[in-house]
Amino acid sequence: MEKAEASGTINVASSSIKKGKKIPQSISYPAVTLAIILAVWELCGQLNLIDPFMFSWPSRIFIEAQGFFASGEVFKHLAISGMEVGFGFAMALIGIPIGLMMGYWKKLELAFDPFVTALYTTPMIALTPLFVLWFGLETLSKVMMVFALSIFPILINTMAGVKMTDVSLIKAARSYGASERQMFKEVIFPSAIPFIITGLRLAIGRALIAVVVAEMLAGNIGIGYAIRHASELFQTAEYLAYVVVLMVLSVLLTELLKIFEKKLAPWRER
Amino acid sequence: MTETLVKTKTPILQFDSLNVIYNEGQPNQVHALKNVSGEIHEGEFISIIGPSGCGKSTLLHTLDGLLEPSSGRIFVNGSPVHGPDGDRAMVFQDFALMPWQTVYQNVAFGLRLEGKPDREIREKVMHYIKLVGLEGFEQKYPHQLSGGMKQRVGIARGFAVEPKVLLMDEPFSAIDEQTREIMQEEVLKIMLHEKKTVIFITHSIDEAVFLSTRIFLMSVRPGQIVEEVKIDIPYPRTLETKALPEYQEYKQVIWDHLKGEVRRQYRKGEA
Repeated sequence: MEKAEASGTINVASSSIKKGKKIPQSISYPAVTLAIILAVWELCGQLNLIDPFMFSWPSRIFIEAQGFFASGEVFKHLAISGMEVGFGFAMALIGIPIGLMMGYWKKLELAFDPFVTALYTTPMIALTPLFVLWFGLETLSKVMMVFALSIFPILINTMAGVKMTDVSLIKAARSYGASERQMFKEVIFPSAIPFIITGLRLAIGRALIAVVVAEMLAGNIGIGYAIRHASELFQTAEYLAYVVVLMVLSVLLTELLKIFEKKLAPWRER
Repeated sequence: MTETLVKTKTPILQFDSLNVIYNEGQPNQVHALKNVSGEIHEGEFISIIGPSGCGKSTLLHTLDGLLEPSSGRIFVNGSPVHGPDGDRAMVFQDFALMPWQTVYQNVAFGLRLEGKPDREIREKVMHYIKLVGLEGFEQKYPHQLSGGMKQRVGIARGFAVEPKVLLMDEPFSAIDEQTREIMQEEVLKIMLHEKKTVIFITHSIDEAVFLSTRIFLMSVRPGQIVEEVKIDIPYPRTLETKALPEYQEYKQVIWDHLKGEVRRQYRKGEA
């Protein structure tokens, strides 16, 4: 009762009276923004303000998307790209144990940190041609690109997480007689989990960049290839439709990770 | 009567001319503890009080084994101490609870590290959770608890390993005044019930007099125990105890001692 009243007053104040009763504002507000953008964009298209050769508009993009979803074309590309990202990302998870060790043992950090940082900040995407040369035009070169780009954010964030462990918790664990192994299991690893998840989130973005760029550069299948192919044929609407698919995919993955984080770290206040 | 009894037994905790020097041999060397000695007997409640920065916490950490003294020795029941072990358990000023563990898991912390079987852990944990009045909160996380409740978890965690001596490092300083008075009373009740030995660090003269059998007064740096005051007020003590004239006298005596130390610290600060 009280709650309904409270949200009622808020809604009156913010003048969107009927909508926000059930839908949370974190969804309703951006939804409205999106609707406005799409409407204006569509209107521009309908009024012939957009050259379909140079750009496109929502209804045309939607029709293209409908086309490649109906023909199943998109699933073929998604399956390959997904597999490449999956394998590369799974390999990049090795960054977690490496990061834990580098965060914990000062000497390891001293020995390797400058190189890790250098590799992290280097636009590794520049290595794509080299990777194609080494690992071929097929799947392997993409998997390796995904791996190379996503391992560093995971590693660096894990390391930061270990180093951010509350000293008083370490002290408490030592006082209660924790061995090195127990210290990892009971204190350092759980404390690093939120950082590890942040690392994974950053890595997902980079993994998608890696796979798309690698596929654009070499190969004849995958989302990246589909994008290049459409753009070479000046099928701008189709091209944009694939970009939208990518966009939706990355948002979904990020949201999935957020749910995962809540499951994994229920102690965190939100 | 207790005097004769106490003297015939080996002290439960004994420390002999402890010195702690930080950054020894370097220009920023700090002599934190200087020739600190003491004997503590079973069932005693010892408070250590002194101006801030006098090395109270350093002493407690050294007794726990977290800090290695530069010289001097510590004995529990006559056997020397090397590092932390199950004979002593700490209760921390900032609670130091694992935020990712529930109340139950936090209380079980020490027992789990010792590798005790689950049934034994469950039995002890539930016993001490009940003792500190946290029944029904077993599955809550620390961030869902108030400061007072968090420290109850900290105290239960300390008790759960059934140490010979419980070391408490300003356990109530982060807790509001009202809760604090209630917690003091409860800690005394638990102490009597469980017959535990406690070393308790505090800033508060009132808290020290209320809780202790003996009070150690420490000097400014380098920290030394300059005075020992025995508090001859019988247990159980309640909040009414604080109204007794001798209670006020004890407070006055300790304040008189402490005043000199605080003044000295001021002068040092000005110099």
